[in-house]
Amino acid sequence: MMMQLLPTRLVTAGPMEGLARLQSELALRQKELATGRKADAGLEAGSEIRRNVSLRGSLDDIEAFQRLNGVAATRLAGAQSALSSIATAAGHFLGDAIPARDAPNARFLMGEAAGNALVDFTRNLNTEVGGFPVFGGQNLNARPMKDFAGPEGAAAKSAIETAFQGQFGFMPGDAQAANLSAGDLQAFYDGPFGALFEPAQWGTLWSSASTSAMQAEISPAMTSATGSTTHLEGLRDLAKGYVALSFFKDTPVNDAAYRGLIDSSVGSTGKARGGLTAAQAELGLAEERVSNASARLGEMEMVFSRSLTALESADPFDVAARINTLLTGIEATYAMTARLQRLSLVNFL
Amino acid sequence: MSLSGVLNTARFALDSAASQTSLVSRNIAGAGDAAYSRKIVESRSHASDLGAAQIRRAENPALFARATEARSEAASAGILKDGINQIRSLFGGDGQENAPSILIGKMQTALRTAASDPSDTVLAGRALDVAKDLATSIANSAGALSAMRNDIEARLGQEADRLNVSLAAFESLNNRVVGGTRLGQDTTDLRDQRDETLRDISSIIGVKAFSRGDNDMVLQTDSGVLMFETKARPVSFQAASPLVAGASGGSFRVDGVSVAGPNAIMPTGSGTVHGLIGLRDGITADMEAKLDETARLLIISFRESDQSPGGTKPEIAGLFTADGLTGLPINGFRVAGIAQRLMVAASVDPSKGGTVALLRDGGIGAPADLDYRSNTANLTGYSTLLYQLTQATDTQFPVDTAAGLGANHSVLDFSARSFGALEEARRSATGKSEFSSIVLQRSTESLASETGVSLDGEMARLLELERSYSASAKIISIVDAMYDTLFSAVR
Repeated sequence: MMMQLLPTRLVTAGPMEGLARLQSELALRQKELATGRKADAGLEAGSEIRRNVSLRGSLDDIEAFQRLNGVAATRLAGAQSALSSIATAAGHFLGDAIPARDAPNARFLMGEAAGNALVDFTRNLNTEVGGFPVFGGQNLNARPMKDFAGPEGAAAKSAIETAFQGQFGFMPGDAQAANLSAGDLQAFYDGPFGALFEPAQWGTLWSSASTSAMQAEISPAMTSATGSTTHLEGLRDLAKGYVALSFFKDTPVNDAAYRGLIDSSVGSTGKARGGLTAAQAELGLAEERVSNASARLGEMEMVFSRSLTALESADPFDVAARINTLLTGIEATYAMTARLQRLSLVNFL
Repeated sequence: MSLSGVLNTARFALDSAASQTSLVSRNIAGAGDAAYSRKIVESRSHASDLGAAQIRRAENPALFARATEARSEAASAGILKDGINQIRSLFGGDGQENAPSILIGKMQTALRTAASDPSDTVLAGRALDVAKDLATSIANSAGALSAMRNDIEARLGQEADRLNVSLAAFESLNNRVVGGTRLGQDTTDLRDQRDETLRDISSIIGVKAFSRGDNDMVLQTDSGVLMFETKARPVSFQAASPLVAGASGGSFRVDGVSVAGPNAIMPTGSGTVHGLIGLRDGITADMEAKLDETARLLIISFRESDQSPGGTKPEIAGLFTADGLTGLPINGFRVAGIAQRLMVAASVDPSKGGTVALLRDGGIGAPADLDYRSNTANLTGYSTLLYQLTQATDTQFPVDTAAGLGANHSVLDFSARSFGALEEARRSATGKSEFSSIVLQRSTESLASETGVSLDGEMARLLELERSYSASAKIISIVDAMYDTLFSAVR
């Protein structure tokens, strides 16, 4: 009876089958080493993979929020700086008005000052941050303020003239205007003229902005204003004063009446400054909300990416160690295969 | 005993050595062949038996049955694993770039970016592009799944043909084995070939083999349907062509009995056929249902309603719609095949002549009807609707429980869970496939270690035969010398 020997095919093929496994695992580990991620996270996690998916979605979301919050913060800062320069200009205007009121050329001085301030005011409210008109409210396609001195101001000018004619029965350019008293003009200023700066008229005559400011989500479930609008009461009051002085400068109204207008305008400007401060505070609050939201998003991002890393990243040290073991195994298999091939009775006969 | 008797015995010994040497060379020739089993000459007690030398093959029926079973298991597990990997590749690689859940997240981000500056049509256009990617990806994945199911259906037909061919080959081999055995011929090589054919059959369908007298064999499916008994039984597959979404495919029949497919009477549990049918009626059908539900949930999530105060017009499909869809799909019920028809509404798609601004203003489903428009004041900075859209994919709706994921989900959650279910199936299929291929390898190895040829063993046997040959030759020459002595004494 002959002893049962292991078939030759098994002796030589055995190590090779093991080799295939070792090599395919080596390929996976090398991929892990290169990408730093598990070669096949889904295979390990099974249905739990949806946590990775949703985590990755949340991370993308946070990234988008942070990017958009950066933009929002820039817009708010642009609006803030425009408002503060308007407020400073209003302060200068007031400072000029008190000594100039009683000067002989008060009309010239204040008319010019008001005209310049109005141009400045319009330019500031038309501030764009990255193509986004920050005072446009929710109407973003047009410049928020119409240029009173230019052709866009024609409608506003004729509205003032119509209101003037309605009040006094003649046009502002009429010689009869010289007969109006300071009280007459002040009544007009507070009455029909003032009505032109009320919200209903403001949106058609002076500005194309919409009444409410842009709102944007700054984090999941948190909304904040990311711009402002020209409809703020302080801005309307300021415009009223500037326009009155600038418009009546070149009309036949007498100097005493004009002085009365200066008083009214100074009153409006003073009132406007209070409103501006409140608006600046509101913007500041929005800025703070945005920056707080960004900070919180940063923390969330850290937590999320840490869990994602834990779920799908491969430990490079562990991978390196496993690659070493695999290489040793493969080398041993090679050596063994070569020696087994030599080991045959045929070679010794 | 006479001298001539001694001579006779020595001559028989030479004969026997020669025939055994030829067997050794046969064995050596078959050493590299997996189907070859080692041949052994039956040891004989007396020289007179030599005329009818009995050749036997090394075999182990228990191990062979185990290896056959393992082959069937490995075939079905391998088919399932490959199929799931194929489905998964539809959704992109490890990053799952094309998975609906990932694209929905991207769309949310794009919509949010668009909402930050609603007047910017470039941003809105980008959001729309992502939405189109999402719709296209779902439609393409569903289309590919459907193509895959139809391929499976076609392959099942081919498997039926292959099985018929193999069974016919088995029949002819079996006839020769039985006939040869009755005539007392050496049928060992034929039986090797028959085993090889049986191996082929076992990779197609789970098979149980029974041996009878005269080396005859009977084959049954693993579920007990007779496949071969003296005659091969017919195998057929009635393909459902084309196999549309939500429909069940054809049945695989052996000898007229349904062994795989819907309502199989005696369902087979392994083999390629089992794997293919499992793939067709299991995971591909399941993923098809899940994609249909994802598509339906998308349409529902982005539906539009009458915005006029006290408006009573019906809700309509908005950003997402399906080719040929009228009205909104009913909540909680799958619409078979809707995923393949999913698309972004043409009215908002600039490449189809639409206006991208409708994404901001609303009324995508009915651009002419101002009642569906949300941006009534026509503000270019209107962001309310865009923000509502970013929430839409997080809103829960009733889901068809037949999709296997419960009753209420948001589309984002549902698609993430669908992907999770696929990965779970892949994990289990990969594990099963790895396990069954190891079992197959081990059982084939243990069978081979019993039936295979060892070159060393054959060489040792050759040496042994050489020795016995030279010993017999020596005896002949000695007897010859004795005769010489005898004859010279007689002379």
